[in-house]
Amino acid sequence: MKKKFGAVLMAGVMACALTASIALTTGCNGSKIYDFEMPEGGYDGREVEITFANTTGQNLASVVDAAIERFNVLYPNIKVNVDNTTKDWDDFSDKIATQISGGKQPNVAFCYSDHVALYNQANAVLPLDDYFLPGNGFENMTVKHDDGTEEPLGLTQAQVDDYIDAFYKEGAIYGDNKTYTLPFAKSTEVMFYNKTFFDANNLTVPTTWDELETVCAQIVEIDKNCIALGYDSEANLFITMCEQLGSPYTSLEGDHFVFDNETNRAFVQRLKGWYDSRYLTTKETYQQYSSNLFKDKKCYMSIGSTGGSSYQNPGSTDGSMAFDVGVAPIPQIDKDNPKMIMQGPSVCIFKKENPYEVLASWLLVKFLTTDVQFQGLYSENSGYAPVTKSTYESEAYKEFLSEANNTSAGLTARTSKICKELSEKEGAFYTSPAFIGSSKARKQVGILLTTVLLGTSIDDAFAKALQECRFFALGQ
Amino acid sequence: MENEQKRPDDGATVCETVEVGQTNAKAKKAKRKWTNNKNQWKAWLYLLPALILLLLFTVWPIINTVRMSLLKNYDSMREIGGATFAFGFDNFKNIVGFYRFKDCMLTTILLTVITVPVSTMLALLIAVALNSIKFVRKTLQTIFFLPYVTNTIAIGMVFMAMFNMIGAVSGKEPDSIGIINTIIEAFGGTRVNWINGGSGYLQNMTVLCIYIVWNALPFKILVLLGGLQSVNKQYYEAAKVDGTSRFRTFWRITVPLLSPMIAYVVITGFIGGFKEYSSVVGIFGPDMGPGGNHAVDTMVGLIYESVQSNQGLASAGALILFAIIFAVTMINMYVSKKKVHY
Amino acid sequence: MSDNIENIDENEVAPEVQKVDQSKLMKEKNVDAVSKKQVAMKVLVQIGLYAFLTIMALIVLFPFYWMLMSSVKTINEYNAVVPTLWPHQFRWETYKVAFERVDFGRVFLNTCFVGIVSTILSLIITVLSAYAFARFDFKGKNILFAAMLATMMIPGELFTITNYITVVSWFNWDNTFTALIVPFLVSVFYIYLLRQNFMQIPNELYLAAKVDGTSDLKYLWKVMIPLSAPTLISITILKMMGSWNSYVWPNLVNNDKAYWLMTVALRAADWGEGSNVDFPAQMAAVVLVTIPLFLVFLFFRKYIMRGVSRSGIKG
Repeated sequence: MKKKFGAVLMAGVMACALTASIALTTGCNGSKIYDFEMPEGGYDGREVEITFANTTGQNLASVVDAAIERFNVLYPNIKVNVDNTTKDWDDFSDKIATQISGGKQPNVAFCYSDHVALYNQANAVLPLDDYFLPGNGFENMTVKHDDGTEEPLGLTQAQVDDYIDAFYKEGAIYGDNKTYTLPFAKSTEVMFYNKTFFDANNLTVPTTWDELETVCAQIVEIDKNCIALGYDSEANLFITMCEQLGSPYTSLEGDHFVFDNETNRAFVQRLKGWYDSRYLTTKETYQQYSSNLFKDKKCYMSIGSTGGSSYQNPGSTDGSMAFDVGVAPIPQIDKDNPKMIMQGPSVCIFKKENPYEVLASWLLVKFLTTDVQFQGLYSENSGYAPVTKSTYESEAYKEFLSEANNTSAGLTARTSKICKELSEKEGAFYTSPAFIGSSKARKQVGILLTTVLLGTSIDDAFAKALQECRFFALGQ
Repeated sequence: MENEQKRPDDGATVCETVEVGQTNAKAKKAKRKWTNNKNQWKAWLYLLPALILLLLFTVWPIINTVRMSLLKNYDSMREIGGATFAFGFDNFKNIVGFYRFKDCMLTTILLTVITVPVSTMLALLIAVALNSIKFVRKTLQTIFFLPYVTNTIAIGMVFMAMFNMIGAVSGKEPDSIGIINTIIEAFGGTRVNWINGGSGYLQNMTVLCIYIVWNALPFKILVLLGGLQSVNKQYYEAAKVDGTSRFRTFWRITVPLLSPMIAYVVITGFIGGFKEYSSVVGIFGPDMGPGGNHAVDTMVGLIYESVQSNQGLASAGALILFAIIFAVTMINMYVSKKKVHY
Repeated sequence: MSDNIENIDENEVAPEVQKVDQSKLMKEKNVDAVSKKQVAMKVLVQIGLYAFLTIMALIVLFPFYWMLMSSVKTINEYNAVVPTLWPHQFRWETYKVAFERVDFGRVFLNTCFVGIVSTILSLIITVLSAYAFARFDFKGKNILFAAMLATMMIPGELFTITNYITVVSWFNWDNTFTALIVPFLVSVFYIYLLRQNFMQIPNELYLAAKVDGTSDLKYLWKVMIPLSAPTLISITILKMMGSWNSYVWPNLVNNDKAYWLMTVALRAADWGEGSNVDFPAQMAAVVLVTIPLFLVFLFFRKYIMRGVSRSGIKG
């Protein structure tokens, strides 16, 4: 008996499991997504409790809390619970995906476009156009504040126009012409340079990659032990190069992964040459954030997120900087047609069984993305750019921007200003298409570039990246 | 059942080896009589709480895993969204056909086959050594338990400090070469790229094996030391009397007497080894290789990578892995039935 | 211990003790024959033992040392490209920062509650199951045991989503302690460990107890449990550690701060971002969290080591 029991058990388990699974092939998940239907009269001031999932740390959380307090003055019966336990973006979206499977998703959440594509496999995200954006048929609906005043329920055309255009458009990149998100706070990449060093050596700040190559050659000549430029994100470097060169990276339709082409191979080859000449290093290859190298004067230019400008501050004991930091837009292929990545969180609303929760969520999202005071404070505390034009024009924020002195806050102000200037150029900010597998593609091109810099052949690296992307996007 | 019958003989073998007289012969004969039908339902009663909970939180997920594995590219999000999935074995075909499947399998097997025996042997030596000293015994015992309460992040950091080279780019002199390389150079050797981009499979695996053994030691020491406390001291005294060498005592007395615990440590070690994942992430990050190149990806690494977008594929991978672990465990059990003395 | 057991012990041990006594006499006769060479050998072995243990101890100790040192470094030193073994500058206020950023009181009580309740319940279930497997013969025992072992062979992450749906959609246990305790009460890993230990306990004791009319439960309580104390304590420590360190599941099912566990609070606390993350303060928090665990271990250690060597339990 003993000798047979393994086989018997195997057969038994397989038989049981097979029967059970065949019986269960259709739906066994506890969760259901409820479509939203506008209740008659809209939000009527009733008590509702909603959850706002975000990734803010303590500092920003208190800014959000203060804004929610002011929101509650208008709508005292909407109780907002903030869930900011998970800070890591991948964990954050994984958690919400699992919560959707259990029907326990939050009401409002921070999101990147990849996440929305993920959640929308379950049709879990509410399209805003049909209910709250101009031209939806509900324009006449209003909502009453606690003090008796009223405002329109949805966004007016003027409010839509107030969002910085590039930021607003990101809400509708999913190929179905629907807007799923509103911008919350945005960032891009800028180049920080050691101004003291540049001035002392009469170097010009490069605006194109060709100029950069020249400057790098000069820098490594001056300091033989340094690397001229540190670039934090390999993936951003790859994707931005694609955008600037106008060569394909990913597409919404067909075979999504179109990054394997001659143009891209050529620029990867060029970057490899720079790497070998110590013009360029990245976080993964060096095993160190470029901001740390920058502060240690191991590199003299550092390209990183505007959201992280405070890390680029080479602090000295008296609170000012150990050397002057300059901020400039990232180098371009074509100066007149600049392209840079747009990052930073948007917010989306999840469908829920109770339509009043959805309405309350909408009111919160509208408040947070349009309120000038909150947008200004959030920007000042985070380094992210505000998403509305009116925020930039407000007195308080103007005052902040004028504070371009030699401190952390001054650095943040300078980066914010550049962000604003860039956002005014038509088409300067790009976002990549979002689909299932777009986050995989992003990750893989980062690995591709890293491994090529470290010595893998270009053919192998491209072939491998393609295989990885295609395999894990099988479901498409 | 046969196992029960065998036991008296095994007991006798041990006793003969140790030469400590004989066990009570009457008791041996009576051994088979203590079972009767009354105990049947009692046993199930004792098992009831465990079985109910297992059904809910383990068996049901396993059934669901089987279901998912049979639905092509199944994903619970897509299911909620109303998608339907073709029934069949496509997931199994797809995951086996993946170009890295064989590499993942090889790495997993190598890691298990190397680390389980090494860590078991080391743990056994440490446990026995700890048990056979008097001076500072308590202090040493406490030290060997410290890894238990050491945060895993700290352990990961230590490995970084030991093996990580920072700034080894573009032929530049690195900012830091790691403690191990410093030692190697002090002895006149040349530094090795252990875990950074461009490093080789052999170096990667060496570091991984050290890490895994290191991680596995405290638990094994704890179990074996606990087991040693239950061993009758008289056997040792008798061995001493007979002038048996330490080595012989170790193999002839300690190992057989500890065999149930050793079997436990080895069998669970193999099961855990085939599920190796977190130690690779700890050193190489979630992309399971230097520079993120998946070079030392394991089966579970592959499964977890798929689970985010394709639970059908992940489930198929998990069942394939299950079949392998099951076969290996059966072999282990078969061997241990012959060797273990209860 | 009951009288029964002591009787058994005497019956069992007596002949052996006699034998040993005889041997001792023989040994004394042989003492003269022990040469100096053998003494030297013995000393060498002892030195070897200590050398081996010391080296292994240092290796094992290193991460712990690193954890303590990291907790008092400045952020810059922590991030320094060349790691330092001994901090240039001790920054003790990391511990103050840790206390400010994490609401230890609440999460400590929560973690203790979940840890203690799940450890006790889990021990009961483990003991009962291991007893059934070690001491009863019933139809399908081997198959059931193998099947239970088999459940350990599927990577656990695949269970997460299914279990999450079970817990929140079927039972509505989100934001409760129940959700943290119940799904993890049964561990085949521990049942197997304890069964191994139970099987080492000779059946003679059981038979004698049966003859005296001792009930199964009483026998379990009076004989099996005391004799397996080291293993039970090991399981207790492991289970406590598990509750102490679990993160993914508690973070998933409980968003309400009232039910947070230590790890969730540690990760949710704000330690800064990017290269400004205050890892030393985070490490300080980890050290603080570790202390109670370490004390529990110190308390239990002597029970593991005292062992059950007072009586002959090997058949």
